[in-house]
Amino acid sequence: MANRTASRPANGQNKICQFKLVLLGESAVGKSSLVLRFVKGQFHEFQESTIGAAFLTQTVCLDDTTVKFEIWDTAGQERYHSLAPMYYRGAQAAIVVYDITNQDTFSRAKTWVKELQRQASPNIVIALAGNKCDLSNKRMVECEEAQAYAEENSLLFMETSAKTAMNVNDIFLAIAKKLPKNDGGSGGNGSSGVSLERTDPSSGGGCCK
Amino acid sequence: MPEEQAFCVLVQMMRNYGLRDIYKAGFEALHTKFYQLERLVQDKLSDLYKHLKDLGIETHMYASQWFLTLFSAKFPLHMVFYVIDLILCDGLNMVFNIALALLKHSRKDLLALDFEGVLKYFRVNLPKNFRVEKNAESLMHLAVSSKVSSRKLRKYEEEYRRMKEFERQTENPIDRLEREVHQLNTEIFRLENENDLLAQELVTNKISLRRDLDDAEGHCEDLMTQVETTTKNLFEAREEKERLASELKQLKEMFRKEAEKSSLEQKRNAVIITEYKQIISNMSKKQNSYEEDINKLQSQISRCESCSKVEASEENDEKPTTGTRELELELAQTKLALVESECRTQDLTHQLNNALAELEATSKNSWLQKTLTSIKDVTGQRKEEKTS
Repeated sequence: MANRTASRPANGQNKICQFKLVLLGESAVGKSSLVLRFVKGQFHEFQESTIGAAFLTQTVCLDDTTVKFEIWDTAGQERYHSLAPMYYRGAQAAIVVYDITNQDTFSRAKTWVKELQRQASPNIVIALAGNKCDLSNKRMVECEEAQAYAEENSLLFMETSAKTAMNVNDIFLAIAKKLPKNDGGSGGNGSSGVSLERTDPSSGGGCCK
Repeated sequence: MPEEQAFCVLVQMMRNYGLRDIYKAGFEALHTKFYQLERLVQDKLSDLYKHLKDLGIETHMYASQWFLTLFSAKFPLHMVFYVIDLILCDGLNMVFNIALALLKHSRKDLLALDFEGVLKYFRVNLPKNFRVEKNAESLMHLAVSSKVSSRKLRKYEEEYRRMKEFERQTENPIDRLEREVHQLNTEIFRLENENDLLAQELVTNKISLRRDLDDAEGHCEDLMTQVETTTKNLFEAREEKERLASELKQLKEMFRKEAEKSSLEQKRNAVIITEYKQIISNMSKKQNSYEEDINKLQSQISRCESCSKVEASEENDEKPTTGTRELELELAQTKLALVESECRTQDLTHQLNNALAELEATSKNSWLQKTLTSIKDVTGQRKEEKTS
C-alpha cells in the first residue's frame, strides 16, 4: 500500500534524482523477493533463482524530490561473484541482504560490505537488510549483533520481510534520504555514478574504465 | 525421454560441447563469449552497437541468461527445442547465431528505446514475441542463414585474451599486488573456514566413532556370554540325548526279552492244548469202548434170564448212565477251558503287538515305563492263572 504512493512520481517543478542501486548477498536470502515487493508489491512463495542479474526500476517521492531507483538484483550464488563488480561499479547505493535464520549468510553479508568498501564508489550508501524477519522463531542472527555491526561500519540497518512487506519500502526510503540529492541529477543512466567518482580521485579501485 | 538418457545428454553437452567451460570458476569463458558477441554486434549491426554503447548497456546485462541457460530461462519451450536441436547439430557456437538473429529481429524496436526500455524489452517483450511458433521458426531460419565464422570467433577470443593480458601488465603493480593480496586473503579466509569445518567434522567423527566402538564392544561382550550359555545348553542337551538313547536301547532289549518270553509261553500253551486234545480223543475212544462194552453187556443180559431180572432193577440200570454223564461233563469243561485259553493267548498276542508298536512310535520315558509295567502285570496274571 505504501508502495502505491511511492510509485506515483510527482511531476511538475519537483526535482528528479536517479540512482543506481545494487542488491548483494548470499543466495536464497530474499534479494529478488525484496525487489519484487518494492517494485510490484508482490511476493512469490517459490521465487526462482536469479540468473546473471535482473534490472528493475521504482520511483519514490521524498518531500520535494522524486527519487528513481535503477535496481540491479544480482544472483547470489558464489559462482556469479565475478559478475558482481560489473553491477556495483558506479552504483550509488547498495543493499546487502542476509537471512536472519542463517548465520552463514550474515558472515557472507559482512564480506560483501568489506568488498564494497574496498572496490565500489567511495561515497556509496550501504544498507544492511536482515530479511525473513517473519521467521523470528527460527532466528539465528540477533538483531543487536547486526545493529552493532551496522553502526561500526556506518551502514543503514533494518530487519525486513519481503513476505509481510515489513520495512521493505522503509529501507529504500531511508536510502533515498541518505543519498545526496544535488549530485544525482536527472541526467543519463549510470553517468551520475561516474561523475561522483571523478570528484574523488584519491581512491582508485579500477572503477573508472 | 527417460531420466538416464536425459542425464547422458546433459553429460555429453557439458563435456563434448564445452558447455561446462562457461560455468567454470570466475566465468572466464563467459566473459570471453560476451566480448565475442559484442564484437560480432559491432561488426554486423553497427548502428545497434553504437546505440547500446551510448545508452551504457553492456552485453552481460542482456546476454547472461542466453549463454548460461541456452535461451531456456525466458523463451517459450517450443523455441527452446529448436535452439537445443541447432546446438546439438552445429555446436555451442550456434548460440552466437541465435543471439545475432534475436538482435537483428529486434533491431528497430531497440533503436527506439532508452536504457530502461531496452532492458525491459529484453526481459519482457522479446520472449513474448516468440510465443507464436511461426515467429520462432522464422527466427531459426534467420539464425541458420547468418554466418558466424569460427575463424572470426577465434580471432575475437585472441583479442580478448590479449586485451586482458595488456590490462594486467599496464596495471599499477601496487594495484595488482593489492588485488592479488586480496585474492589470496579471501582464499586464506575460505581455506581457514574449510579447515575449521573439517576440524570440527573430524572431532565429531572421532567422538561418534568412539561411541560406536564402545557400543560395539558392549554388544560383543553380550554376544560372548550368549555364546557361552548356548554352548553349555548344547552340551547338556547332548548328554541328555545320550542318556535317553541308552535308556531306549535298554527298553528295546527288555521288550525283546519279554516278547521272546511270551512267544515261548505261547508255544508251551499250544503244546498243552494239543495234550488236552489228545486226552479228549483218548477219552472219547474210551467212551466208545465203554459204550461197546455196555452194548455187549446189554445183549448178554438180554440173553441171560437171570440177568434180565437184575436189569429190571433201577439201581443197576442207573449206575452206568451216571458214569457216562460224568464223563460228558468233564469233556465239556475241558473244551470250555481250551476255548478260554485260546482266547487269552489271542488277547496276549494282540497286546504284545500293540506294545511293540507303541514302543517304536514313542520314546517318552514315563509312558514306556507305564506300558512296560502294564504288560508285565498282564503276563504275571496269566502266569498266576496258569499255575492255578
